[in-house]
Amino acid sequence: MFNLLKHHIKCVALILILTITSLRVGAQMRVGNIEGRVVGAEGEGIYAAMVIIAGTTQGAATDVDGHFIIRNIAAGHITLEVKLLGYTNRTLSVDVVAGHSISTGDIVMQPIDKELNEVQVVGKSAVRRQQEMAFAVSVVDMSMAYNSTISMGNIVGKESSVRVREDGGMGSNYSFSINGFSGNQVKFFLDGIPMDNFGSSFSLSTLPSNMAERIDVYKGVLPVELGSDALGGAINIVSRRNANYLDASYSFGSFNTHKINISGAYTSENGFSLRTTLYANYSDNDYKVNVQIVDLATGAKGGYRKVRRFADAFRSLGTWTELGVVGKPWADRLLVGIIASASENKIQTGATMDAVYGGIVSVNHSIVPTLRYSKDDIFIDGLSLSLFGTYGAVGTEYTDTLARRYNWLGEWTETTTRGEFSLSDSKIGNREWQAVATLSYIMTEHQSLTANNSFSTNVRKSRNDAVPDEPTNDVEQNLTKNVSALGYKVNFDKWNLLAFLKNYHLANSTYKQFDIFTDNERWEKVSSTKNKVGYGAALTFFPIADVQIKSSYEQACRMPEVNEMFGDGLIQKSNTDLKPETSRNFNIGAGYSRVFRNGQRLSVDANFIYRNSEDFIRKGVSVSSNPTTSYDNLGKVKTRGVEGGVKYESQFFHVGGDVTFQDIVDDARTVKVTGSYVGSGETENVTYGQRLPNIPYLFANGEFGVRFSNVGLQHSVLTLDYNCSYVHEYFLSFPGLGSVSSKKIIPEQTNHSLAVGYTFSDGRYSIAGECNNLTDAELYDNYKLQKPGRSFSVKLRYFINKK
Amino acid sequence: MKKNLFWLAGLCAMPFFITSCDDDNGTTTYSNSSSYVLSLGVTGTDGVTVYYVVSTDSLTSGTISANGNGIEQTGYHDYQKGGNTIFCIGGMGVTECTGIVRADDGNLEENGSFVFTNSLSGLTQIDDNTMLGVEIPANAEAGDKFTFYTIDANTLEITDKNTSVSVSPLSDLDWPSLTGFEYSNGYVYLSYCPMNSSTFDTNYTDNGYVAVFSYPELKLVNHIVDSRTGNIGSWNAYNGFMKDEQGDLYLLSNSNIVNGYSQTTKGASFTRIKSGATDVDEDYFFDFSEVTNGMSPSHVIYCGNGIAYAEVCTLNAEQQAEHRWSDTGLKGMIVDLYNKTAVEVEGIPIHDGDGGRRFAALYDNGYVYFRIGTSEGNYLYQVDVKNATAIRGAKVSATFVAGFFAL
Repeated sequence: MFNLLKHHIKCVALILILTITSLRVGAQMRVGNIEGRVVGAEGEGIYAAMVIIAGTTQGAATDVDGHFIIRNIAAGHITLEVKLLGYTNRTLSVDVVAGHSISTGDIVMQPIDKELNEVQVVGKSAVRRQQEMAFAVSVVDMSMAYNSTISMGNIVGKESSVRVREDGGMGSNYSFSINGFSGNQVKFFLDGIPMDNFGSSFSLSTLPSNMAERIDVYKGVLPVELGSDALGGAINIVSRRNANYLDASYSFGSFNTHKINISGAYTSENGFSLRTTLYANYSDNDYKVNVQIVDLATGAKGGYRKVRRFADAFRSLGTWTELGVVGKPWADRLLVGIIASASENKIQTGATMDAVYGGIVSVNHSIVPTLRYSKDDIFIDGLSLSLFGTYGAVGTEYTDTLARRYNWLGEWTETTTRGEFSLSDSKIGNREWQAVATLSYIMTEHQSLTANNSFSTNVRKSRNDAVPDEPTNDVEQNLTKNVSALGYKVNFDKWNLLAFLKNYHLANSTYKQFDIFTDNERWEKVSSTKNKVGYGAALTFFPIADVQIKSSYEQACRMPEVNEMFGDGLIQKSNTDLKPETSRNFNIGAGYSRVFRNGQRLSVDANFIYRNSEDFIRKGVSVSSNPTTSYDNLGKVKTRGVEGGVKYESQFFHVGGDVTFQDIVDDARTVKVTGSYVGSGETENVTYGQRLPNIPYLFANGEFGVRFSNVGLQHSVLTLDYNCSYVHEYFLSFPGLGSVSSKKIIPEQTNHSLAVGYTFSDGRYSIAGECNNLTDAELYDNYKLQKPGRSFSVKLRYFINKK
Repeated sequence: MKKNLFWLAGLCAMPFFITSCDDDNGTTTYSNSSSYVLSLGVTGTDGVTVYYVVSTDSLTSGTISANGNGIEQTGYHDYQKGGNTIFCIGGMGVTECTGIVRADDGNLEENGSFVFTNSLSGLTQIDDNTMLGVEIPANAEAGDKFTFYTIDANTLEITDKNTSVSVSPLSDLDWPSLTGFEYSNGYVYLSYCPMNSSTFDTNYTDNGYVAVFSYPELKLVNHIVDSRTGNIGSWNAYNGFMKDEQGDLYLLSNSNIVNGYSQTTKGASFTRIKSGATDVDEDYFFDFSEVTNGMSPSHVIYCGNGIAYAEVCTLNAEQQAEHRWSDTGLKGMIVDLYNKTAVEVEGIPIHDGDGGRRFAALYDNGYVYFRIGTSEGNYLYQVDVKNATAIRGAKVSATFVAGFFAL
């Protein structure tokens, strides 16, 4: 394995050296980018302002929020001119650094009746921005969502190819599915830091949308900087970069739901910086569900009734606070911080609505100190370094000790068995260290190299106090992962290319009991290591103006988790032969995006994906309650998907929609049956060629919004937005089996939502009202778990962006 | 441009118009009018098993599959017949009992369902109208009382629940794992093996244990400890008892490691409890190991007149130790319980069983039918009980067979 890896590295290194030397000769011209935001006196974004490089025709128009970016500017000292009818023209000087994206911060414009002699430039920090263009990526601009009460997760769920799978209301189990991949196959990042072990109380379902500037959803190849073993994509939350701001909001709504959020940043002139996000969420989640009422005496299932959920309350509290310096000669950014969060979640249902619980509670808490450092042009021009480290102490407590059986009316009867689902009073403790380093070097105007190394080590212990003799109590499990990646980027006006090589290394260990009940009974440490090489490339090509064609290919893999490899150390058998999950992903897409002279913008894009995935890590075929089944590499799946979207926006309205179709089929001709009761060896796979069940395969989103300025008050904006999402019906089991009338299906669903927002004092105050599930339709997810019906919410927000 | 906008607006509005009626999920019928019913377990590449209850008229030729037919049931399921109803027990997150009957028109239909308080450990038929179920808590920490359910077999409703019977003395050595549950002539018999509920180890295999309860009082009248045999039956295989035409119970003891035991301390044997008795018949002992030179039945099905078909494990204890829980190395034998003889069946390859599940086999009109996984796929085998011969029958397009009935 190692020899093979060495060989890979040698080959790639050789190719890189040859290419670099050949390109260096002719290319001496060096370019960079400028980005920023044009704002009014109160910090509100100004739409359709022209930003031009003096003496050239190069420039850009600002978008609805005032943002602009001008690419490929020759390095050196330039003058920017900012022009808009009704405002005084502005000019400012900027030093363009080759290979960098220089931020001007907010450029404040004054209406023509006021005179101002100097242009104010705020937060002039050079922030390197990754060029993501070659990836299959959806960028969710969160500034559009600051006035919305929808959770961050659900905003991401509106992207094509992405589904949020949730069990219920606020705080319920949720997962993301990207092109059919989900669970451990999709990874989450916060500013590039893997969120694997930040705990469930600090996750996309609880974090406030106001803390994020944007969310990048990668649907195939991941950038080298996100060193991780994701199989099917990743989600990176990029926190807000405003140097000085305060954003405070409170929302309340149906089901006694309350959310408070305060996000802010303070940066002093000498570079001291403090940034924080604080949030608190509460909901009773007592929405109505349509369920059968079981007579607790006879066990008879009565007719369907609409009843309120009665034990589903959720509360969470958390902060992410960072303190440090920015813009120092020795550090562009050096921040120490802490993530602290806690949540308490009552669990109302099991896998289906038939399993109703009244006293199961899950409590999560995490303390994660963080350290971030970054510096551009460190030691030599064009070399940048970013480092971060985290330590996490994350705990989960799960309590299920009642000897009761509940029905949907909240009635209960005493039972002879403690534990409504399974007797548990357990605590799971995780301690994790993480260190990620990224070094990148811009070699020439057209080429750069990036190297990344991500290391994490996790120690887990669990204890079930309800079953004190459980032999797995306090058994230590360890998982160490190291992912190294090397990427090479070539940039030209007409095309750019990224090629990368990754090496995944994993070491895990646990303790196992041997020779139980003999004199020789003992615990022994067992461990295992795995190594795997992945590679890929992404190409973007601009055949004509406004048209972009992207293509990427990756050999991706996900390493086994410690549980999967060693079982629970006792009953679940270990399988140290477990291979990583692998997937060969191919994406090709085309996009058209055009900004018209009057500031209107039209974008159309379409993508096709093809994936061959195999060796999924799943619990072995377990047809009885066989206690000793191990995890196994099962299954082979072929995915073909298409997605497409259109969006049109102008100063007054926007309209758009997207459709995703993904055909995910079982591609295994035979099933390997091991460690089960029903024979072993290879058997015919009855479901070969059939679509995988329980995954939505056809879904669409639509949006329409209008925007009126100066309604009622001066400097105010009124917005009306309508969104709809549609999911075609899908089966809970393989579609070809069983008579049609007995098939368990999740019916077709359409969710309409409406939002009204009013912002005045140039964005300082806003109030928004929303109605989700306007038609009170029955909405479902995983195994027909019911989601909330019509609900209302109101959000009050105060925002100030200090100059 | 205007035209484009129109088109865009149309696209957005599309979800409004793509609507259809929900399927009616009422009572459903299935167009088949044959006399055999199989539950096919299909485990997909997603690792999830779904069950399809299908009807067929031929067990000897063709392919039995769930393609476009069969009643779909999700979640772990176990099947038992009582009267003319197939009781389908299981579900996702709850233990439900759904009845399947053959309607007047010959089609299978679901005729009702109810929910157990927690789970179900065993179910037996008392008479044409009554079934009795029992639940044992998963471990000592979870509880120390049985729950007995009296079920109306016609309306599928729990008519009585008894939660007062203590699990002790069954739990005195270790936690009892039910291996057989049978009613006969006024008594309910429960066989079990003492098994550690965390490690699943069995350290008390020197005796056969059967609890005898009076019915309908459900009072423990005797706790049989029979030192002639090892534990009766094996884990989750419901193979502890066979009842003959006189109501006599024949008890199987195997303590096979391939069926979940962690040790074997006694050979395989059959013993008897006479109809209406509360203790074993000391005069009857069938030393199966001795008769067969050390073999041990893993699963049995009663065929009438004291004859049973047995799936017999050909591995010795040492070989079994390497394959705990695997239910492997099986061949077929015809066992004469009255005359204490056993004859090997010709024509059955060495195969793996359904251990850890109830033996999904059918005795019908002189023949025993069950599934064997072969390198060419899953096939039913038809055993001629009288002549001790077998032939390969219909192909089964499924991962395994979970239930097998004539209905």
